[in-house]
Amino acid sequence: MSKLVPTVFVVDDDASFLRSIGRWLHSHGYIVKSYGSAADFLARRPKQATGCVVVDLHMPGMDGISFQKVLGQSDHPLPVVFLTGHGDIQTSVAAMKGGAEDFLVKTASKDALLDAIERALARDASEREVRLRQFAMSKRFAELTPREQEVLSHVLKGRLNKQIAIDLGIDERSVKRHRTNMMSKIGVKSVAELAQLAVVAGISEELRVPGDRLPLPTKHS
Amino acid sequence: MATLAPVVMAVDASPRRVLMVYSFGRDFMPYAATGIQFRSELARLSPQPVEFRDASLEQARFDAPGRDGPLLDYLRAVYAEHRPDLIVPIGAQAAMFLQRHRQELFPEAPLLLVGVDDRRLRGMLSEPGVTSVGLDMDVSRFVGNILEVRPNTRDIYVVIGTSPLEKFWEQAFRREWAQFSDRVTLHWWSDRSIAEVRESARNLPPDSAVLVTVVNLDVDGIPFEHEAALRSISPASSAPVFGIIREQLGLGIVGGRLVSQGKIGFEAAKHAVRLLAGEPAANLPVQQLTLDPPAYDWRELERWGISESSLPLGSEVLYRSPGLWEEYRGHVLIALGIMALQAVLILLLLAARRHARESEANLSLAAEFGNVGLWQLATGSDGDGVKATPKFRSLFGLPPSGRITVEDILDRIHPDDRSDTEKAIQNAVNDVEDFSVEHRMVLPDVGLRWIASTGHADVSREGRPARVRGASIDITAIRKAEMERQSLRTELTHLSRVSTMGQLSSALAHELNQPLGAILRNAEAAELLLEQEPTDWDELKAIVKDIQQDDQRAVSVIDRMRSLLMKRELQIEPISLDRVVHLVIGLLKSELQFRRVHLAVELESGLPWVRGDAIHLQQVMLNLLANALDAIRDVPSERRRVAVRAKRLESNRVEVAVCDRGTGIPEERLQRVFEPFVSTKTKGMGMGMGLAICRSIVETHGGRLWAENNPEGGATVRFTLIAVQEATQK
Repeated sequence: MSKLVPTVFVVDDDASFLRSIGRWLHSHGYIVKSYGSAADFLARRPKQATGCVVVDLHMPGMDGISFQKVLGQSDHPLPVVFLTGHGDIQTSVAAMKGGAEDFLVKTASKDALLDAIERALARDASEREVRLRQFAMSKRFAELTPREQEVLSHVLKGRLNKQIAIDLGIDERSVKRHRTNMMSKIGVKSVAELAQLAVVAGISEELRVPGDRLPLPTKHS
Repeated sequence: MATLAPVVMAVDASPRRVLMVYSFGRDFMPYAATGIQFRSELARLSPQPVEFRDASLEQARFDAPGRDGPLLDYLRAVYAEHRPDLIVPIGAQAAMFLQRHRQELFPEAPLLLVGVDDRRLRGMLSEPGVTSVGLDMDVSRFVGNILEVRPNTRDIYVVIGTSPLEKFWEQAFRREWAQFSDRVTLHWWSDRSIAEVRESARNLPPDSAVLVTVVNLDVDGIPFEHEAALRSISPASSAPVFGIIREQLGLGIVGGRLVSQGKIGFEAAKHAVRLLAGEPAANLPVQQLTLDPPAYDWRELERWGISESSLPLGSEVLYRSPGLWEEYRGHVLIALGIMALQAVLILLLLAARRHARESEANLSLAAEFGNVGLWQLATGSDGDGVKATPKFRSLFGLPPSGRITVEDILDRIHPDDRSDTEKAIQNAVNDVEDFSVEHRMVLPDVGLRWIASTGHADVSREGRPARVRGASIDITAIRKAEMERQSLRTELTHLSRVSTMGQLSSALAHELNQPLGAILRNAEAAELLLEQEPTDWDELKAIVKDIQQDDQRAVSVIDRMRSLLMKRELQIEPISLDRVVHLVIGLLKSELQFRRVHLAVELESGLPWVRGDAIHLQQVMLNLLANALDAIRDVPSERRRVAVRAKRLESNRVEVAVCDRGTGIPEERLQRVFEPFVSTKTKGMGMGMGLAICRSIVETHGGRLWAENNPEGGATVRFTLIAVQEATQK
């Protein structure tokens, strides 16, 4: 999967601008795919593609901001760079809050545009890596038996073996056995390690450490 | 054949046969007068004797389509051998009848249509051998006649018959008189018999008038020849009776601008002579007479207490018949006068000299105080010497004393105004006319001045012009104020346009940056392509072509803005409303998209052009649409709808409506939104001048602009404009 070549997807209803930016990206060595509307992109996009989307803010039908929302909630999000004829503060703030990589006017300088696209591609690569790790982790957690999962959730809440035994109505030795099996399936030695991986896999929301530097996807597959 | 024809005619002294076909019987108005005049004038003009034959479409009195048969058989039988040389249908029904049957009846004889109104003439002139002497009536004058002399008139009772001809005119009148609906109520008495009309007319409310149009056949089927209906109604009426035909004057109508049926016959006879002499119909121009100058019946003016001073300028007053006192008043007054004169003469003579001196001094004082220059121009034997007061001399920059001539005065007048002023003086001298003239003067040290002069010519005892006296006044200050006001208005209108454009600037910048961005990216791509080996020339060519196209796009956006940003005076000409609307929508395209507004444009098909200034009307449209967009700013998206509608109204007007589904206008503000600085918008959103300026622009165009709330929510602003007749559209 990591062999996929990053592509710059361009979405704009203005055919002439779409052609010119396509040529421009191509001449700068990018692989380009062009779409005349947001709906067209959402319908025809390659599912596993890597790269970023350069999108016009004002389009008939679905506009740039709504497109950003739909793309962000999909299973395969991509970083977005907004282009517009003329920007106003209100929409640019909305776009940046929605997680846009950048917000540029169509007449922006070559360097500003190249820089924004490079940052977007880099961000896609790192987010993709996080998503892969998360995917692998969640797979491991998914292999636990129902009882092991119950024990796991109590352990993550910081309960002692004795308390877990009372809560689940089983004896302490059984708790210990489930706990050992669970730790070895996940591949961790300590509760601290377990907690960290649970966060990566998106299992435990309560345990997230403040200041966590890992960008967390909202959904996992 | 054509060259032989005149020779044959010169020898031929046999009578010319003219077949006159009347739309009704030949004694029915309005055509009776036309026929009589035509016959007598043609008989007088024609070198050969003329034999007139009459036929009339009796059936045209009734609604009887397709009953041409009997008349057709009759004409065929009578004229089988004695073919007529000229066919003259009088009135539209007869014209239409011959249009239908000319080919089978008289294919060779020329056809002269007489008395057909322009409204009915369409299509009748397409065949060869047909010409027309008819009418182009401004029928709105008939109601105008009434309002001119009786401005307080509230109710007009229209008397009209029920034959097909009269029904046609009732439709036309109803359509063209609708424009008066805000001033008078029209009551249509086509459903009453003339006997009933006569009774109803006895008790009319005050401020009423009766308008007798065409009555040949009333609702009971009673025919009326020679204005018998008018003769019966007028004496009974308790309100002034007006008419439409010149031949009604003297039979009990007040008067006004009327149609002269006799004149049509008179003019038609001139055509007929040339047609009978063998001239092709195509050589004779189609003639359309308009209404006569105003004429009034003195007896009716006296009867209704209408003062002659209220009649329009240049009116003719006929049928003066002074009463006993008036006839002898002169004699009595002269007798009394002689006695009084004898007694007073001596005293007067004594006082006169002193008095004259005093009043002259008073007059000069008043003139001096009012900055009025007085002058007197002697003519004839006295030469062209001018006497003038010191004020006049200083106004015209003349020396305070010494002889001055007309030439001296003319020399000081602005070259552009000199010939007009000279002509006015000449007319006053030669024709003993009053004169009034405004002209500019350029005086050293003073600059440009505007002077208004007015004068009166006196006649000598021999009836020759003796002198012209007059007064001149400096009106520079008034003129300057007028021009300043005009330029301020232009300035304000322009500013408002610029400010509206300012509100759109973000959308326009967007529209402009779109092609500019494309050009920039294309140029950068081309730069890189040029460095590559081998060079991709096809791609480079495509890039250059795209750049050119985008450049055009940018230019057209700028053009659209520029015309609106230009400052200019009003230029009224025939313009297409369709184009105005679409130019404005072009400007608003991006703005509509930004705000996700649905705009519906519903222009009635075949909309006539209007008289107007394209830029100013674009401004009105732009302003109303911008207001509509602001009104729907905060409503849910399904209500973000704006509609532009245009339709033709009766009475030559076009109405445009801009309709939104927004918050509407508070009832108490509906009238006031057109006042300056009144705005329903949030503070800082508008200066409250837009609608005031829109209204003033529309009113300058002779239209109206008003606002109303829609029952389903939101507001509609409507305005009307004057439509242009199709023929003058460019």
